[in-house]
Amino acid sequence: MSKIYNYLTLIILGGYITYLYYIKKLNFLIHERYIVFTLIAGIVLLIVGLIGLIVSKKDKSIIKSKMVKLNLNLVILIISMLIPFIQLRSLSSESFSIRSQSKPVKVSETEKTDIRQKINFKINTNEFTLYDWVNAKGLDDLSIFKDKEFTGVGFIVPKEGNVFSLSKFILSCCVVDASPVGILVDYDYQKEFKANDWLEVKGKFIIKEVNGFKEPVVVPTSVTKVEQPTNVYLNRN
Amino acid sequence: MNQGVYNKLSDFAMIFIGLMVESIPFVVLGVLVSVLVAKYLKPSFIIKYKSKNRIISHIQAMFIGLALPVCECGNIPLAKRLALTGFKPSEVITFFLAAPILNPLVLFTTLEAFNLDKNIAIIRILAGAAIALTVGLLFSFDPDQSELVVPRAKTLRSFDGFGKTTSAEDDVDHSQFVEIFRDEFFGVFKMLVIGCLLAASFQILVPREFISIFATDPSLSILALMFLAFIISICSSVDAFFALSLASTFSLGSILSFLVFGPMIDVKTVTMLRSIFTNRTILLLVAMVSILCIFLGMGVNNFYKLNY
Repeated sequence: MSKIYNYLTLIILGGYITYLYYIKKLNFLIHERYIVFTLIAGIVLLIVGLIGLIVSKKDKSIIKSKMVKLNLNLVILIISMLIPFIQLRSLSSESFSIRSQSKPVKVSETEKTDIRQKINFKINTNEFTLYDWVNAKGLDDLSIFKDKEFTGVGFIVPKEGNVFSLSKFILSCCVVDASPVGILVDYDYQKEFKANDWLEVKGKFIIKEVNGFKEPVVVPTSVTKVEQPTNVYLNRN
Repeated sequence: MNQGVYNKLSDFAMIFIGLMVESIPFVVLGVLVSVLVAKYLKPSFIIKYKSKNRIISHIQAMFIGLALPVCECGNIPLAKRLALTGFKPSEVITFFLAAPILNPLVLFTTLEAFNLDKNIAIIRILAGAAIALTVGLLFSFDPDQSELVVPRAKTLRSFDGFGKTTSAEDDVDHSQFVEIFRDEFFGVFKMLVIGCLLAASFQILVPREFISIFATDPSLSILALMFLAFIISICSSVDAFFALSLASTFSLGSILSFLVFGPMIDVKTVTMLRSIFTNRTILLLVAMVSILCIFLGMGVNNFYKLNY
């Protein structure tokens, strides 16, 4: 029976990966650059599983042994059967605090160069995404932010007082390496929203002291609750 | 259910599935390469071209990874196959320790992440090679090499018919591909599932801030980042970007220990290694790599200054 369990597991895993690709949700788990590679692996698993199952059906010795024994192969099959029932979503604000460090996430020189070019050549920072603003924080130049317009989508991670972080996780490879990033927003959100709610925030940056550090903080002109977006993570270039 | 508990359980599930989905393509690639090795690479060929000299044969094993831009998950099935195809267990150890670091993709991503000081990538590659070679050579002095591996690794299925488990020297048959694939995939996958469960648990339970407490102490920071590398099980092809995020808090020595130790030893890899090596071998292996990585970190902290 172990062979049957194994082939069923391959079919479930391969089918699950292929299905996630079809509904465009593989990016909930892995960086966009790995999606095609993962899809190919999923299809290989699906094909091998199906062929294996067909071949095994011809093997009478396997069919005769009807008794189901609890072994690791069966446990793996059960785990695989449960996986498709788990609702995919972004990591929560709880993981944000567990993964946070005392100092902000450092950005690579390439990312700094990219954002410097954007700031130098693109005057309209209205088109900046949350990723751009997070990279701009890495330049350690607060003057970049002063009086600039901000529009961004993220989820609420509570900070002290009325301030919350409009946050997303940034991926290098998959959710395992997801590092929390965000832009602080000065808004009394607690009456209308709660932690982990997804919001679209529009507003303007000011420089404000938060926890003893000068930080760029958005003073919003509009805060709207939105559905969890299809791109829940920021993908590192 | 309490919302906080629900969120933690949900994050645990997401990290577990994420780790699995990220690892599966590399395992599939590793198994496919292993099946090709089983089919086309005969032990007689290896014996003919592999040096008889202990040091040179380990250097040969070390460079196999250069041809395979695969991280640690994909190397385990191949390592199992190499153990059957004429390589000694100590040479296989050198191979799988070196391969996740000595490959073009890792060099590229490390250079990209730390492009202000290219020496970091060079030190990573050289130190990885030196540690892999040293550990493999130390194991080569074990008089009974066959005692290093578990019995089932010595009887990996080959193209020799269903249900049999014999050496790879026999005649090959294309129709056995599916069966061999299943055999090798699940040999690793069972351990991968357990490793992913452990890694996801650690990620949920151990706060990064706890690791940061040790950042200011040059010696403890090395141990802290090696512990972090062990529990997070991040893929070696992108760990440099993750390490970059720690660079503002930790010493360069501890960052390099993270970059060398992580690809060689983590909770997921150690679990998967149990499909090849005995517990005693794994314990010795972890101890040797840990000690050498601590020396590496301390050496870098004392003798190297960042070029930026």
